Amino acid sequence: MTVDPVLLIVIPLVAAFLVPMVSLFSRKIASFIPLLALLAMGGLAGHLLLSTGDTAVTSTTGGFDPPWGISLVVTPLGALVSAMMIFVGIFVSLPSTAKVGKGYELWYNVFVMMTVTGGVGMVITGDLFNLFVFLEITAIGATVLAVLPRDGETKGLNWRGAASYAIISSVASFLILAAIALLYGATSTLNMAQMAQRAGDIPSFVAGTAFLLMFVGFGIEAEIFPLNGWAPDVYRGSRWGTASIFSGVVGKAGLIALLRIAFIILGPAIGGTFPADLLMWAGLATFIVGEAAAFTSKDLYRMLGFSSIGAYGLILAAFASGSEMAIQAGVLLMLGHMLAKPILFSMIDRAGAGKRGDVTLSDLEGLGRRSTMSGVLFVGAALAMLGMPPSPTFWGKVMLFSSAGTEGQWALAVIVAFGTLLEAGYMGRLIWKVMSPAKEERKVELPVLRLLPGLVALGLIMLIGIQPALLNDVLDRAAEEFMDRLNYIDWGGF
Amino acid sequence: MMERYDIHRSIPAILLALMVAATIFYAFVEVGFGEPEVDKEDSVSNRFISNSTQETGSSNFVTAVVVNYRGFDTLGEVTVLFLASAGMGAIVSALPAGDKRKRPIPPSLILTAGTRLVLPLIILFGAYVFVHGHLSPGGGFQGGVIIASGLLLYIVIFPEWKAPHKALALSESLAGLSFAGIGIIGLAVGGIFLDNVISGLGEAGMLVSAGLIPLIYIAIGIKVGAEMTGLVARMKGGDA
Repeated sequence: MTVDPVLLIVIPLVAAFLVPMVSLFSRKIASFIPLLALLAMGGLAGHLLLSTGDTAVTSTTGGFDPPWGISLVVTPLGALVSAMMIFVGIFVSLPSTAKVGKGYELWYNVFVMMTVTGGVGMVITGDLFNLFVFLEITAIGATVLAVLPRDGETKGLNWRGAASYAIISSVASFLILAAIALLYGATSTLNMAQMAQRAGDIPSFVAGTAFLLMFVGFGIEAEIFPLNGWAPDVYRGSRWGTASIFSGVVGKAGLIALLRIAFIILGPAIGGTFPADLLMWAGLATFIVGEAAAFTSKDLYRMLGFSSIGAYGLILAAFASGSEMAIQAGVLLMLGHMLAKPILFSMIDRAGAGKRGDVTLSDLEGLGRRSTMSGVLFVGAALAMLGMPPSPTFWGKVMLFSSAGTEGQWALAVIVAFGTLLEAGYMGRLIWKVMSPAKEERKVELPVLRLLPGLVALGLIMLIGIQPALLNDVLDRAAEEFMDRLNYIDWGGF
Repeated sequence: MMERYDIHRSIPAILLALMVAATIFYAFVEVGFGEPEVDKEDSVSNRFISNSTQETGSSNFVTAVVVNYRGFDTLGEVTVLFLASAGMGAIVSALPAGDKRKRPIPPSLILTAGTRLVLPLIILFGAYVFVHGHLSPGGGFQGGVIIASGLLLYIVIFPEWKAPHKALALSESLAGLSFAGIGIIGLAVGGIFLDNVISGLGEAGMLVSAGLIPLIYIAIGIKVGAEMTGLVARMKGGDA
């Protein structure tokens, strides 16, 4: 029997509501609640991933069938991405659990958990307004995460980054809400599957406007060029965990929402190849701009932030380029990025521990000599990001090139190759510094709660890299979800 | 030196904003918002209007939609407010301590006596609004905000008053857990989260009716009241 996917949302909500009460008695115990909830969610997401099979796991709420009540539609891709988001959440929470220093330390993990929950909700919901509610949860959680200071820097609240994000993401929310109102007005339903079924009823001007509003709104969340001006400030001034959440959860949720709306819901309502073309070129522009900006960055958080922007662009371009193989490549690239990025952020935090302000290339010097395991994790993750085998990114890039060749999308292939060269440039510099001899003998501490999730992530990267066939079913279903709208409509019960 | 603001430089931006606004406006006209023939026969709104009392027992169909048909959204919105309030608390606790303001001018006897007199009435009215949410306009959010506005008045008039943050945290927690718990009852009994398993109980239009809806709205009222009060008290600062 399949467990009801609604628990994926209910468990963290109950956990969050428990925290104020439990913290009155013991802050120590309260600090374990988010981690326990995330572990339970992880188990559940894994279970759902195994039980989605050929179709989606659905659930209704409120006692009314869709479209009257809100339903969840956990597609195989949704289950996979949810599991990955929860993994990022656990990765980030583990080291800061049981730390109850200042008042905000306890809440940091609660916000990590809730931002992950918002992201998961956006990916598994089958209702467009419900998606908006989860977007709000994600955005508020992420704003608070962005403002909280790095360890030991009580004065370092990241007002600049957090305020930019708060303002621009509320503009994004407004645009998305306006688009939802338009689509609801044109189809008389909020259920995504039913809306997709009725896409033919949407006047093309309305569909086009709604698509552009959604593109700008979710493009802001997914750090798509030129809507990502806020992102460098957030990455530059925030904690490693916050940076990991932004690059692994917030934008990924926005990206999947945007892709579903463009290709599944609106699909034929706009007609022509305009949405796909716009998304592909926006993706490629984001990829090149992101990688080029990363190449020239001094602060490492900012560099990796731009590198995340580049990755978002590449994933968007892969999904939008439209062939079955390219969509599967997009999923693999997404996986590779979500597994490798938190390791890099975590290790940069170790290298810059106790330092105020920017963490630069010289802080990385000799990281591998000062702490062997930190070096191994960093170099492993950096190579995986680049697409060295064995890693999901390797297969993703191979498949993307091969799809571009078959489809004759030469521009795509050339741009991806050029961007990868840029990526190799700055990643190579980072790796070189990590391996070079240490000038100072300052030891780098690597607590076991940091090491463990890093090793697990690296293990998963290599496992998928060596045995990508493990994911065959999920990849096939993901391609089906986007290649043929009727599949999603059918999975959603219409 | 600050550069002088020059309106001419903003003209392209203003024109662009106007164009975007016109496009959105035209799209809404195209959809035909508010015109009766726009709704499809099987539209969700038609069903909510005609069947909600029968299906949920609530005579206020807005409440039926908010708490029952789309109760899952409402649980999410309650969470949004919870996060905003908790986030505020977390940020305040991360701020450097200090910044003692000078003592404000003490309020007059009329204000202090008047506040003591009205506060219980405001709280009673707030409670009335959320207890009757399934019968009359208003509900948990509105009632909760009314209660918080009363306490805001109290905080303004008696700045020395320390908000009972522990009691607020406890009621916030318990109310949130009650909402989620009522949802889980539905999951346990009928296999559906937030299923209104006792919707048939009582007669529509009476205080005891609409099954679990009033219970959820009472939980929301308490939660919103506690959160908004905590938010206001923290903004005053000094005792976070």
